Formats: sequence, structure tokens, C-alpha cells
Amino acid sequence: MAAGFEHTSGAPNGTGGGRSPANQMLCPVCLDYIEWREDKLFEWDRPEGKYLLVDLSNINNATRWVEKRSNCYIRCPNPAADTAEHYLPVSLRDGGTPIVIGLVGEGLSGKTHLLTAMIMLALRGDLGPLGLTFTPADRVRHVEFKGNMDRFRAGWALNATSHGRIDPAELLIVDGPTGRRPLVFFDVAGEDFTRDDRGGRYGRFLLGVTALIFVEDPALTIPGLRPNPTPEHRQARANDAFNAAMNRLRARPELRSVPAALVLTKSDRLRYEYPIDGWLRRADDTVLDAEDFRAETRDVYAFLAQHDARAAMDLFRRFDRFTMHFVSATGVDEDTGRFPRGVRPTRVLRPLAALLAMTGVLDGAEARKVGI
Amino acid sequence: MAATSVALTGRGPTGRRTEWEVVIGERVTSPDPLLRTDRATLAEDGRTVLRRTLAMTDGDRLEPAERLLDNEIRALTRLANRYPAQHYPAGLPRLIGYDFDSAEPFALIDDYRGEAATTSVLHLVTEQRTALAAGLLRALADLAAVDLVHGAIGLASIRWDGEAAQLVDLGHAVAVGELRRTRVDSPWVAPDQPSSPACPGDDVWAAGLVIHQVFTARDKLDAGPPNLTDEQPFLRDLLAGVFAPSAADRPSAADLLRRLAIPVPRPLALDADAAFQPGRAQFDLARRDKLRAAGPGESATPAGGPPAPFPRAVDSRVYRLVGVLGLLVVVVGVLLLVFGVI
Repeated sequence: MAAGFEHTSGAPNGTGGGRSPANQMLCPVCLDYIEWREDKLFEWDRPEGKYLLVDLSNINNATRWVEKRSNCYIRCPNPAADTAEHYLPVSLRDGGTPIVIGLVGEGLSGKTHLLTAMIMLALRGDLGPLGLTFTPADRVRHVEFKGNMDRFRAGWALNATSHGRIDPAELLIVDGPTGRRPLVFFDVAGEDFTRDDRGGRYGRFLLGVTALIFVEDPALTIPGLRPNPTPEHRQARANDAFNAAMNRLRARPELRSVPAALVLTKSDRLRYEYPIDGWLRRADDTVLDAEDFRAETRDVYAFLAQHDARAAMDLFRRFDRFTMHFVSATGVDEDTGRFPRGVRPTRVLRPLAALLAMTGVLDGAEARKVGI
Repeated sequence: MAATSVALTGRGPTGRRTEWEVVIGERVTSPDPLLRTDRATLAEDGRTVLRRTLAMTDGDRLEPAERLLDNEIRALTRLANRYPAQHYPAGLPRLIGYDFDSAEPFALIDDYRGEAATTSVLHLVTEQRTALAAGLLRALADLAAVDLVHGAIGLASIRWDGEAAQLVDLGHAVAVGELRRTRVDSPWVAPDQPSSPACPGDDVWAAGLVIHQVFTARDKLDAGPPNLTDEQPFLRDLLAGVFAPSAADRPSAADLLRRLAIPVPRPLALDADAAFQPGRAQFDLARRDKLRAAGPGESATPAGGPPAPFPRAVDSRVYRLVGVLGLLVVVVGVLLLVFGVI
């Protein structure tokens, strides 16, 4: 068998969906639909710092072949030719349709900390009680993200998302009760959410997005909460990112069917305020409870109403399924670029659990009620 | 011991940023080895205060220590925000300020009154015993009125100055319904307390044990709750039901005050939920409108969405049709039977 072993197509556990007979799949990096071909496989060569072609055709041992292949990548053809060269791990091919989660918020919103904390705890197994395990899908990309995780754990503040970037922050595989799915997190600067480039990557992102997380620092929305007004804070202004999102949504009404969540991150600033004090002190629940999500959504909404944060409240009306959360990625406030006693992520997995229920990764009667 | 002057930056009880100049004095006993407590003097008015800090700056015990400090700040800020200054409970500690974000978090508390009620309170005269019991129960009622549970009541967390009692050290305090994140190592704690969501009944058990000790002058607690049948009628009646196995079945602190024939004024705590009700009501309306717009039968959700929120008119018509057909079959069957065809 000179050509090596044939790769069996189709995802395990029958999760494959959204794939046409022509073997097309959504590339989670450039968001183009591509044909998955393994005629050329690549390996990451660490000393060289690049991907090198590899030939598996002379491996006769089936187990070794499977193992070797599992570390390989293909080069994405990127038909739109608008993204830098990128490689996709074969683990993507073996999962179902990717769940593409976009995190939207302003640079100062705390998105990067939230995403880092969320992924760190997910990889640690904290959603195990819900039957979910997470593993990195792309080792190479994970090395970079791990750098952020290490800084975070050591109590260093992370850099904010830069403008003009719409890049997958991390690729994971989630194994759950409904099977295996790739999970892609996109970090979207709020101002960029409005970019009008149908056919371009932002446009394709909105077409391909499976779930949205709107991230907000309560102090940005609510002038009265600003502890140490910085020059950025001093302008009393409505939330540009949310207004941008609202404009985008008005132009694309079909987006309302995308499950979404609003996260008030940096809720540690409200840690002694009722009723946020109670929400932050609840352990991340080990059982999916739609009523619990609803009760928290209600209190976040009421909090926003108290402070007349109309843009954020409006998001609730605009999405069919929507949850709201009080979260603190770090547990305490930053002190000149550091968290001196380390970080204490609080309630960071609740938005992820809600979205996984709303996108069907978690199934069952309870999951179907989440966000309603 | 040399006194050190320190500038502290933090927040007042309502969250406003404040600074204090304090002269740190002697170290005093802490309720827990994870915390450190120093007596200090406030430069601005010379009053004596307590500064509570973590006993360490890093290591495994940092997180448990933080939880104790956090619980205490949370309980004290809740009390400060719910009780107007002129009605602040005399039997509970008063917070001056706090910080929980810096490398050295702290709580500044008005100095406690009197002495810790350890063995000294076991030799009081009847009026004093009653005053102590009443003060303790009043503090419990004031906590319960704002949905707080102390969780660590014992002789060490009660202060007595000869006339009045004060319940202190709220490091294990949580809100009603919450699970505890800290472990209380104390013989006064009810057996069901550690594994159950917090309930005012937890405090009633512990207070009941303290009251029993004070009135019977026992310096050691027996294993298990006291056998009230052997006690004087006054004590038996006062503590009836206090040692019920389940916290929810125990009388409230207000009940016990009434048994002591002490008038229980209506607690003057602000209703925290009242401020939130309009916003919650707005949510309920917005949600209702959203569900209505989705319409019966159209759940407007992605794959795997929920069933329609309202009963579907189509379904009930189908059921009616099936019902009618079924009835028809039965009637025809009966008629055929009657006329001997089957």
C-alpha cells in the first residue's frame, strides 16, 4: 500500500454537520469555506520555527500512522486570499462543525483577562461536572496562548486587544454529551465590530459566528462607578462598542438568532454591593439550571436599569437567546500592572456554560431553556 | 513597643475612596490564626480602632485568609449600608473602612467594647445574665433582618462590658442561603451547619448553647446539645426548640426575645430589594414582550432550540380531533357489539 492509509472521513459520534458532500468545512481562522485535503501534510518544526512538509506514505504501522497524523497540519487554501498564511491542525477535521465564539468589547473592557481566565479554567477541567472536557486543538497556537495564561497565573496584567485584529485567540476541542466539537474564540475589538466589509473577514466572521459574548466593564458604562478615573474614563460617553454592535444588528436582523451573553467583567468592583455580592460568592454550579441563569440575567438587567445603561439593556431585546452575568476574571482590581496577591477568577465559566447550552453542545430539556 | 504611624488608603463603608492616618499599637488576639489584628488610634479624632489584616502575604493559606477578611468586610458593609447611622445596632461591630485589592488588604473596625466573654461571664448575677442573653439575641435579630448569619458564635466572639454585650468577629459570616467557604472549628456550632446553606437557625443553636452555659455557669460544653428536661423551667421554656436537629425548625432570635419578655422593635434595616424591584420588573416585561414576539410555535432559535413557550393552538386542535375519532370508534364498536355483529 504505497500511498499510505486512507483517512476515514466523518466525525465520530455523528456530530458532523454543516459539511457539504464536497467535503467543505469552515476554516476557523480565515472563516472561508475550504475543501479539506490531506495530500500535503505539515509538521511544526520547533528549532526551525516553521511548518515543514512531511511524508507519511512510508509508514506501514496503522497505530503509528494515526499517531503521526494527529500531530500534523494542513495549509489552509484561503480562497479569499485575505489572510496571512495559516495552518490548521487535523484535530479540526475530526470534530464536528466549529463553534465560533466572538468576544466583543472595547479594549479596556477586560476581555483579554476574561478569555484567558475562561480558557485556563476550562482546560483545567472545571466544567467536568457538566460532562465537558476541553483540550487545545492546535499545539502551536496554544504555546502562544499559554504564555498569556502563565502571566495571568503569576499575577501580571495582560495587554489589551489591539485594534484592527480579528484573529482566533485560541482553538480548543470540547468533548461533551453530544460529541466532539472544535471551539474557536475570536477576540474582536468593539470598534472593529462595525467594519463594513461584506465579503471580507469581518463580514464572514458575522456570517460564521455561532455565539457572541459582549464584555463590559461596569465602570465604562456607569460614570458613578469609576474608582480612579483615567483619561480614557473621563469622557462621559455611551458605550461605543455596544452602539456599534446595535447598528450592525439593525443591518443584519438574522443575527438575532445567534445565542449571546453579556458579561459584566471586573464585577469585583461591585463585590460588596447588593445583590452582586451574593452572585460573586456562588460557586460555579455543577448542574445546569436554566432558572438560575435567568435569575442572574434579571439582576444584571436590573443593575443596568438602575444606572440607565440603555445600550447594554437593549442587547437583551435584540437577541432571541441571551444571558447576562456578573463575572470577575481576576477577583480583585489591578494595582499598577499587577495583581499582587495573584488572581482569583470568579464565575468566569458561567457565560461559557450558558453558550454551550444555547448552541446545543449541552443538550436536554434544561439546556433548551437557557437564555429564554 | 514602638508605635508606628501608617497611612491607609481604602474605601469607607459606602464604597467612597478614603484615607486614614493611624498609629498602630499593640497586637491583639485574632479570631483565627490566618488573620492578624492590631489595636490602633485614628489620628483624626484619637479614637481606638482595630486593624484586621492577613497574617501572611503569600503561600497556600493566603486564599483561606482572604475569605475570612472578605466575609467580614462583606458583612460589615452590608450592615453599614442597610442600617442608617443613628439606628446602627449597638450590639454589632462598626466598620470604618477597608481595602481588598492591594497587596495588604485590611479592615478598620471601631474598637470592641469590654472584654471577650470567656470565663468571666459564667459568674454573673441574674440581671446581668439576662442582659447578656438579650444583647446577644438582639444582635442575632439585627443580623437576621439583613439576611446575615454569623456562623461562629461562641464565648470568644462575644464581648461583655458589665452592662451590655456585643457580638463580634464576622469572618465566617455569610448571607442566608449561601454555602460556607470557610471552616468553623468550634464546639458551639450546630452539627448541621457545615454542610447546609446558611440559616439564622445556625446562630440560634450556638447562641442557645452560650445562654445555657451562662445561666448554668458551666465552663465546658458537653458533647451534644444540653438536656433541657433537667433544667429550671425558666431556661427550659426559653430554649425550647433551640436545639432542633434542623436549623429551619428552630425558633428565631426575635421569638427568644419575646420569651424573655423583651420588646422587639421592628428592625430598622433598609430594604435592599426595594431599590432593585423596578429594574427586575422592567426585565420581566422585556422578557414577556420578547417571548410574545417570538410567537406561539415559532421559537426563533437556532438548531436545538427550546420548545415553543406558549401552548400551541395547532396541537390542541389535533388532540381534539384524535379524541373525537377515538370516541367514534368506541361508539361504533359498542353498537356493533349490541347488535351482535361482533
